Amino acid sequence: MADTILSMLGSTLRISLPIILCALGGMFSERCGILNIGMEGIMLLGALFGAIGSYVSGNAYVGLLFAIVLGAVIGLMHAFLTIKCHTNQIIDGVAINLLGDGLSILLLDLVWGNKGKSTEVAGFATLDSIIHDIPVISDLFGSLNILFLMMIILVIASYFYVFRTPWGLRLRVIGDKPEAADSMGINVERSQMLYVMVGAILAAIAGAALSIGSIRYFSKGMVAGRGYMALAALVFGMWHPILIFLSGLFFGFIQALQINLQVYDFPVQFIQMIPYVITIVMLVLTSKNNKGPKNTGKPYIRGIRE
Amino acid sequence: MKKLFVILAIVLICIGMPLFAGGSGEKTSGGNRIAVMYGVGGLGDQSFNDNINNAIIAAQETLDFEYDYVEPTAVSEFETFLREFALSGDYTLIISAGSDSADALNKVAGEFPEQYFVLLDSASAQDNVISVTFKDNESTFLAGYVAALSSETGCIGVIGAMDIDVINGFIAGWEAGARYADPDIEILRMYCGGFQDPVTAKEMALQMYARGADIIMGAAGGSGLGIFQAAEETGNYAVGVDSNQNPLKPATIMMSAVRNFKPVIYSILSDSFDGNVETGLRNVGIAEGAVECTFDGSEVQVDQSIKDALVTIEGEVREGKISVPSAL
Repeated sequence: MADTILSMLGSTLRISLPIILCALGGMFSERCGILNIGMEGIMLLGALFGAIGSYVSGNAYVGLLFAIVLGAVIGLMHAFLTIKCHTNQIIDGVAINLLGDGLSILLLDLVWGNKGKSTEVAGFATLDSIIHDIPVISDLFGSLNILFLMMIILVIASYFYVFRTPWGLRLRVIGDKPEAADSMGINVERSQMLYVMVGAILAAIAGAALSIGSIRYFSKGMVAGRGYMALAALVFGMWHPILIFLSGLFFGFIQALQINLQVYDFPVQFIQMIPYVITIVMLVLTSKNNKGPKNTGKPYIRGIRE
Repeated sequence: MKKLFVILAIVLICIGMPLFAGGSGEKTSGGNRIAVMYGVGGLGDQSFNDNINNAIIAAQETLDFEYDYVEPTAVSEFETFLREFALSGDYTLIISAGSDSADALNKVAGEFPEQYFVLLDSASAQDNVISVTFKDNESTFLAGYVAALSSETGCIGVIGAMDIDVINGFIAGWEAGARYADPDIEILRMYCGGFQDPVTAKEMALQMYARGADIIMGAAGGSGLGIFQAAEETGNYAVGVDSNQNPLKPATIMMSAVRNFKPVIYSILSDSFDGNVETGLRNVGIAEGAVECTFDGSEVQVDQSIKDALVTIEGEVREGKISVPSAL
């Protein structure tokens, strides 16, 4: 029994890692006022570029670097179109998701000559070799890798950045009242572009956590809705790094529970429904007092009053 | 200026779209021509769709025909593609791959009674359809039999993509074979929810191995890759399905329960080109050479006594002495 619980908790951490990373990226984007529902597509391309980098170099860290560059490029694109060209942020996000679907298959075919999956590539070493001898700790964290530590550091750093530094204060002002930020001499558009890129980079790293961080392949469509789940975790986590971390863990736990419940003889469709039902229930329960940044979704155009 | 740019862009896209989209090639008269609509998994799955593609390419070596195909990305596109193929009137046969295309195919086949269709992996009642179903339960029965005898923990597992008839056929055979070998074997069963989610499948496999299973079969298309990864990381074994997946991880994948499309596709094509189209259901299994359990390419040691017993069991399944359940 204790073993089962430990392995389920380990599973929780593994499942929640990409969701938390991606939701954290979404937080930076939405905190500065730019919606990015293209997270799913960015994760997919991040997973692909992680695999490509790892494939060409034989080193997972190079893969991570590839994913980061890819995230920056897509982020810049989304930022340019939504901030400079004032395109609808939702439509642009959908476009990114469609782009991810198509482009990933095209590149998969170009690099590996196969439209379904890559060959096996180098992945991150698990922490097991370091903490192998510590009983409970190794069961919990042994199958995780360096990306998990990175995620923890990013969550804490983001918290301090957003709530304890002057730059974080400016970020929050931009998302709530960009004209106020502008009048204080903050360059709104430049800040927004920067944060959208940061957000996309985090989403791309989340994608790489699936390919080079987990199964060491890229396979078509492998993100399987995690980008959208991250958006739910972002709202559920009230755009707050620590709460996002906790809500990501909660989603991971529900998923791990769902997996383990399948061993028993319940109708499987019912069990598979649980995470989604709980997501909806929790969102309904929390959304009443849960307001995001006030100006998200609207482009900031200087001198225009509502 | 901006407006001009937008108009220019729209015009360019309108001109460009048909150029890129219409890749069907020139028509040649006289020769035989077939069209294939693949399942949403698409080519490159190294499984169902690729196997059909390989079988058709192999048939092209001896038969003279041309071959067009499409890879729909959603179930909702099936009907349109099938109707387009049928409307063109160019094709001797239109092949529709996958059980999820059955509804669309039945509808379109009813609209074009003069056109012959082939439905792979599902049965159709239409008069102009050749439907082929595979007795996957026979090959997974053999795999389950070997797994139960090889398991050291007395516990094996299976991960399906979804709780649907085709997948449950695989699972029913696996469980029946395992129980035939060892009535007390414990069998864990999970569904990962999709054919393209290897990360969840890996997580499920890790949980199964943690619960004591030591051999897991995947009946989950592309998601199965995650199972192999979990098996390798934990030092356990996995079983491949559909195509021979043993070479992917020879030290981890013990065997594969495979479908051989080549003899089936070849006989349908050559009969049809000769003018002898035989519509109706073909339910093919071990006896027809359409399914088998193979160890080729695997480096996992399986006891010779088990392999010997397998030959006997295979013979009994072929002759119908053992009847393998096809549903859970």
